[in-house]
Amino acid sequence: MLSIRHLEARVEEKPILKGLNLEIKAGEVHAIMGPNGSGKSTLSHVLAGRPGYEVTGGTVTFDGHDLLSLKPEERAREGVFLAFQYPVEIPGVSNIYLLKAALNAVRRHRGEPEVDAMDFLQLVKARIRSLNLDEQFLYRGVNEGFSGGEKKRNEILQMAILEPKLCILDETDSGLDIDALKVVADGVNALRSSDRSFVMVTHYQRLLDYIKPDFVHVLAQGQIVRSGGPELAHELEAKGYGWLESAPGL
Amino acid sequence: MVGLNPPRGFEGSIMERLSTFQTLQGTLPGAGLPWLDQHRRESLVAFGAQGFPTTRDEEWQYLPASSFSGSQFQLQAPKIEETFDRDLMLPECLTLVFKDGRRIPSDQTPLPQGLEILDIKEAFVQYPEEVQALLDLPEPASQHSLSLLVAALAGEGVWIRVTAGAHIETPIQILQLSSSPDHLSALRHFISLEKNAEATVIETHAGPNQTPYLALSMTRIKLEENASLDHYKHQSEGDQGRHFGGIYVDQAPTSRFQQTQAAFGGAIARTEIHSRLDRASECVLEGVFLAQDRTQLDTHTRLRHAGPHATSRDDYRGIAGGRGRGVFQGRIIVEPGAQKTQAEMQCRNLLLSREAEIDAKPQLEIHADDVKCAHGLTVGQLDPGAIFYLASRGVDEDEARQLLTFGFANEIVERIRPVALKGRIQHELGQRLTQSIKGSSQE
Repeated sequence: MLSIRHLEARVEEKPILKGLNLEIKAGEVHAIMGPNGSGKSTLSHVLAGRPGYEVTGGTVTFDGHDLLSLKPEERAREGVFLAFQYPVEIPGVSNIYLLKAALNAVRRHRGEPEVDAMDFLQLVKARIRSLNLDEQFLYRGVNEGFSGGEKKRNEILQMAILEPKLCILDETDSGLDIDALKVVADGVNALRSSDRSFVMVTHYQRLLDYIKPDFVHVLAQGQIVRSGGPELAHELEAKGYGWLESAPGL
Repeated sequence: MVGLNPPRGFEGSIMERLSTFQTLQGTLPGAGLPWLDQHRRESLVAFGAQGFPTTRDEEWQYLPASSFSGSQFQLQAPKIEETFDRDLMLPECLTLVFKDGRRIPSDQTPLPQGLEILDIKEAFVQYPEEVQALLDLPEPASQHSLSLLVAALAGEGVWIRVTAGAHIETPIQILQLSSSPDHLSALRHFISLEKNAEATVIETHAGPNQTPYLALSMTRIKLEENASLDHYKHQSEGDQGRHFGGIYVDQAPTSRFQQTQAAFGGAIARTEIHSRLDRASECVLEGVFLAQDRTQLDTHTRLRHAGPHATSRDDYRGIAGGRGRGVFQGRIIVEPGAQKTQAEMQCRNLLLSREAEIDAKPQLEIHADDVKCAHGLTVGQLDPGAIFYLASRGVDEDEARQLLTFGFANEIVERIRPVALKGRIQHELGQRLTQSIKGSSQE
């Protein structure tokens, strides 16, 4: 589904990703862990196409497409979804309005008709209930005045409505208490399927207790330096990231 | 008669027709009432003597009143058809219709208890003293060529009175339509709310595109103790229309005045809101303007805190696209005795194109020492982070810009209480932004 080869990227002239390789197959859940400044968030933003993140080398192939040649909105319509670490507040635009605009953009791209208003409302209401959100939530400005937990749940709500193929979760656990984390994790787990893949970028192992990854990768200084199964996350939790400084090959 | 020659620089303008206007005054409704004749005559003389303000006048520095001048405008319209677009009447409102400055009969609904509505020509006869008490404007700055011209020429308008303690649930809509090319209309309304009375008044201004006209109106409001008025103004004039609307308010102690404006149309349009706040009264002014193409929109507020413990809040959003131009000038005056004043003024602006321009200017004059006054004015562009956020949800850039711009203005619009009015304004805002943003991306 996603193949990243020798990816190099820089932000404001500073090289951040320095030859990153990653292969993700349909249905897999990959966790990317690493210390602050290792390039985790840069990877998420490069995959989503954020302006200002300049790719200087390597390739990213998604479902047979050259992902890097697509505009951010085209990537989204092809099925790439980034759940933001810091979701943006958009006062004056209601949550439900954005959800509908986004879903229709994706549907038009797929050659499907725009969603029927009643069907849409039913779909959205079912999803918000499963995320433990109040219906009033739909009529508030996008992320406006939301608590940290509400913002993250809103990202998952958007994901559940858009049904992407590749979900990238950028530090989704940051700023969440344990109850909110469980709700978010339940939301993500409900979306796991054999044709949908996940990349979870996280600093802490805690999230992985609730969303079990198939693979764990350690990112340091712009490269993946170790890969393994879920047990690698526990090892990191026990040993911290300090050992990476002296790891061979760096 | 003094001042009946056009001042220098205004040859070929409306000023040349002062003598015609003088003759016309004799034919206006209410002519023959000595006090009214005198008021109209004095206003016309003062208009002739003052001339139109220029950019040297601080209150007009961004938008000189001479922009409203033009010799071709005629006060006497051809025969006015009594038909109009009935969709402009808001549902569940009591609507009074004016077309080219004349009252057009609309459906008569029985008035609720405590509400009195008359044509001003009836009020001139029935309540001469009450009308006379409202002829003077609260501020010297309210007396300028445009308001004087309305005072000199207005023969029609509505008189609204809500008696003490009455709460009028049904909004009263004053629909002001222009239709004839080169027509000058001048309307004058009087609204008084007695003690503890409550009401909602909506002004709707509209006219056809590609039709030059000059629409002037003046609304004089008096709120007695503890009265509360929600006032809305929806300005959707035609693209060659010129519009001036002044709203002048006297607020008695503990009264509340809430005004929301949505300004979209006209070649040039100025809205002026002046209020004088007595002890512990409250004044909230909110609004959005969207100046597109070559439209010039001016909003001018002037709040005088004349008694202690009063609060006021200005909150405006301005958007300019194409070669549009927006102006916001807000002045807060705190008089020496007005301790414990709380005044807050905010105006945030958004430029959608390189040729667009917005001038925003706060003016605070504080003569008391125990007050809280704050102001904030910003002019900016859309947040690239927000555009990316929407793009990452599949929304393309034009649509994202449109959505964000809509949201920026809608923060004000969504607070509008009459649901039908809110829906109309949101709809118009959305439609105009679609055109504007499509236009700017093709440039």
